Amino acid sequence: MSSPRVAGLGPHGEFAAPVDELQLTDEMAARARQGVFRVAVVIHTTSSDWSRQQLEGISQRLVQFGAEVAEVVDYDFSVERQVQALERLARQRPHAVISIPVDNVRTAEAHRSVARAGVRLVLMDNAPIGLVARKDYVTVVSADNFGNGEVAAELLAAHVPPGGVVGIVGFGVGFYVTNEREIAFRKWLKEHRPDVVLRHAVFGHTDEAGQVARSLVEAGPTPDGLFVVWDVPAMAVVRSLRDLGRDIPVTTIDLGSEAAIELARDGLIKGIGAQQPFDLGVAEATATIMALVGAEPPPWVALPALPVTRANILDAYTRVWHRPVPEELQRAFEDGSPE
Amino acid sequence: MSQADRALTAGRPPVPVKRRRRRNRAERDSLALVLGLIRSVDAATRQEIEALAGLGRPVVADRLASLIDRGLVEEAGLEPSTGGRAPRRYRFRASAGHLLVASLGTTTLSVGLADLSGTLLMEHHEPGDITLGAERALDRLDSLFDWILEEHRDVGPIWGVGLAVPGPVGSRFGRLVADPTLHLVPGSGQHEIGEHLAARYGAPVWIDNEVHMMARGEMHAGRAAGAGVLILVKIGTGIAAALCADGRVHHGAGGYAGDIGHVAVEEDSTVVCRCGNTGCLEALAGGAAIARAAQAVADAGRSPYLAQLGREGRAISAADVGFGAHRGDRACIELLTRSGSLVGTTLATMVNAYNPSLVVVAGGVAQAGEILLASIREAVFRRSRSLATRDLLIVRSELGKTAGLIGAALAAVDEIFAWDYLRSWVEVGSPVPRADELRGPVAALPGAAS
Repeated sequence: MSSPRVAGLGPHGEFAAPVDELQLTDEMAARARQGVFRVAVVIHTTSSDWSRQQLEGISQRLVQFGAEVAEVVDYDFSVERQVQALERLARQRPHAVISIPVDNVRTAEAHRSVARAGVRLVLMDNAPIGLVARKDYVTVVSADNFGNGEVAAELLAAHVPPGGVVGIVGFGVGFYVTNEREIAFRKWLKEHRPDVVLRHAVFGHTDEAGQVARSLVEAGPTPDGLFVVWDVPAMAVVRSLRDLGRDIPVTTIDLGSEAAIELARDGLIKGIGAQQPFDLGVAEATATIMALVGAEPPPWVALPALPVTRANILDAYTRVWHRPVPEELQRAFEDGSPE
Repeated sequence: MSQADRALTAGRPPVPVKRRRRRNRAERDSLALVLGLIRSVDAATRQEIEALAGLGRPVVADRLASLIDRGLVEEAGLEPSTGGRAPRRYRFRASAGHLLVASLGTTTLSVGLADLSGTLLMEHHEPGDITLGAERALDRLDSLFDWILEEHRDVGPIWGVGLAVPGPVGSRFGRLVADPTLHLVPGSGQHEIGEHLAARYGAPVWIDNEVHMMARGEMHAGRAAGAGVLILVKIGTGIAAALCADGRVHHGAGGYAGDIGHVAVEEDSTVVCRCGNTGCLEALAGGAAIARAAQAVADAGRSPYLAQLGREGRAISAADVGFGAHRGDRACIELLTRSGSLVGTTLATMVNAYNPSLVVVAGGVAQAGEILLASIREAVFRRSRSLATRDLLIVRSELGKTAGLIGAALAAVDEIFAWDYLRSWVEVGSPVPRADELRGPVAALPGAAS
């Protein structure tokens, strides 16, 4: 499986613009440095590897143009807290806000209020319903979530026997990104493995994912493979399967540290569709600076899905994390067997 | 899965059946009239409704109580008092029912869920290939609609399905008619898409040309909001237009208005269009034509950008040509300029004939950016009478494919609340039967596709 093109479409059906469409001329860069721009980031969590990488990418890129992250709001998946933060920022008016909408309907007006206040709005992952590019926001920068869902399906299918059962452990909150992954996962299996029987369970919070998977397994028929919509709940599911003593292959999305180690040691995680959060952060910061100096980025910029298996885990880690393979991961890879 | 099945599998208790006195025709008409008035304004007081409807206080009070009882109207706070008791305001309850909406493009499939104000609650877009057959496209549509319903078990019943399709639709809603261009949806001329969806989801289905649906969406929520006379031109794989005036799409006598993709723009062209003729606009300027020409340019080594894509083993798309043009690739710029010039020349004729104040350029190729738009503008302004272009704006769509979904929702809403249809269901409070009223397979409903 090679690095594909972006498979999905944007929030309004746009074709993906490659990330190198985001370019600043020397003249734009000089103007940006004169602006000394202050940017606020509104994000659903700061405790995941994905978020930390995004923030690092944003900060490092902004600094290159004399700009800074003035504030990071961690709204902890709470619609109310995100709305409050956006309404406050609309009043305080930093130069720009980079935000990931947790709920496409209930945060729409708050995001619009930021744009109406004259603050440039760059969105991570998706656009709230009713908001359009160039009028309400600058651009949406995202991974190819649809493509990552397909990758997770293809990697899991290799471990599922003919007529086997696959369980989807989905997110019970209507989150655009996880929806896209699940839709694509189901589509790929239907087209390429119509023999597979699907079962479905959802969790409302990552803490519940392990128990949800446990119930799915115990209720029977036992799944031959599980897809969990991102890495943090996937690792909760892995721990739960270990407690049960069940050796069920799992695929997921996002190359978090724990999931990477589990994959490297040939554990229960057999494949990952990886985002490249550091590069996404860099792209968001570049688009923000472009907008602040009067340029017009494309409405949807996306990075392709990156299929990761044990075979390419070390290379993929370096590519995604922009840092050397840590000792623990290297050791897990060399050990090559589950605990 | 039918509406009845969904209600049952969702574990909902059956809705208690209230036995109401059957109203006579005049009473039903006044019920529909009051509902129609409330829908037409944000919110209204009883006194305002009395004045607008020309009905007495007891009648309006009774009809309001009935509509609230049926879940169609809700209270919306108090007006400021002018001395006496503050009058109560009433508004239409847009969440009384929901709509499944979809837009089948040649290379994309879009789906969504909307409320009865036409507001989308969710949308999803994915690549598709309609040339693989109508049955496959419908199967995918079923999967996505089923998924939406599974994910939104908390919403009210589905009152209708709005579907945009890539080709002309006859003047009668709900049925595709035979037409040479319908090989976009192979076999669909005879395929009863509407009946299939009506039976599966237990709700009426309305179908229209996707360009007409997009125009409705643009007039409601996009660049065309408030525009009096406008043309929407969609440049995707094919090319088509919608002519609109005073908020309405002009369908033409048979539903074919705006099918400009097959206008002959080069008499001596040997390029054969999918309609069988040569020299058609879309055969020379549409997305498929641009991609084909781009491949030839790449093969000939005339475009460094496209040649690089070829070396990476990628099929070249019209979007790639847009990205190449943005980077200054001369061959890509020429391809877009030629496409824009051909579209603009055709549009100029329409501008002279129709005198719009606005042209909205939509579709995947429109995403290519300012170069395409500039060449369209140049051709339109060069080939149109100055009187026709004095106040003319030519802009790019902001809504993208979302416009088609909004349009599909609005088309369904307009039909559900059309006077004759509204009168047929308002007394029972819904155009669809309740789950506990359904027996056996769901039949196509009155007003549904047939």
